[in-house]
Amino acid sequence: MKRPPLLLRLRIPGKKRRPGCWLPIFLLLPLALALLIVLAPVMLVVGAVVRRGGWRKRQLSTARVVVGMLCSVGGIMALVGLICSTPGLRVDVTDDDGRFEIAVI
Amino acid sequence: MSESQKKILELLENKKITVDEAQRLLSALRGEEGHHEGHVLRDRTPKPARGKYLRVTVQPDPEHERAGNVDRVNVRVPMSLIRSGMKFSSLLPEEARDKVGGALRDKGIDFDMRNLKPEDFDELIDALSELEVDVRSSDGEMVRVFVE
Repeated sequence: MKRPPLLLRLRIPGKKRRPGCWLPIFLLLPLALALLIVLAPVMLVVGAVVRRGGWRKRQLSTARVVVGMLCSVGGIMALVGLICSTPGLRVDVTDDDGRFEIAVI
Repeated sequence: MSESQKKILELLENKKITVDEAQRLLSALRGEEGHHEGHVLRDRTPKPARGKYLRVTVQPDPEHERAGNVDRVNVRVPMSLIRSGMKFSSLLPEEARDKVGGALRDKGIDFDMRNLKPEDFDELIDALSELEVDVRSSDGEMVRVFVE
């Protein structure tokens, strides 16, 4: 069963040896949901503006695709599916400058 | 060979059905036969193991490692993430798909995104399970791409 990501481990290389940090994503998810609800009317307005035109054609086309995808139910479901598929993702790169690490748990 | 299979082949020989139709009938017949044989047959055939993660690793040669080469890459991508990402492409509007198709055709790749179906994604992911790439570079680094 899929579950939303809970923690994000982040380590960025630098001159000082840093231990890395744990970000509690589970605390950010309710905030993101609240933000989504607040931004929903704005998205609708942006969608309407983009549909009617007025911007440069290329930007308009890209914006239409992005807004269309995000505003559709399928798009939101796919986005939720994508976020819920991230637990287990790990990128760990070590070189002379240090270690870069992202891990989603 | 069963009687039904013989009949299908006879129909094909007499050109009463096309090759495609014969193929479809034969596969339907095979499915039916498998169904009749019951769960015993299903239990006997081992299910191919589905990989959970796509791994990309770069490991230095032990000699180079001792000499101070510490470059390492360890990437683990959940297969479900790849599947979810691929599903995004099915949400692309028709005009965007046409543009992608056109750009690919310009590069000499004859690929139509409209032909991609959700079942194809699963098939692609399943095919990835057998992927294994091992490359050893001239400076001894070992690059591995595999599914675990």
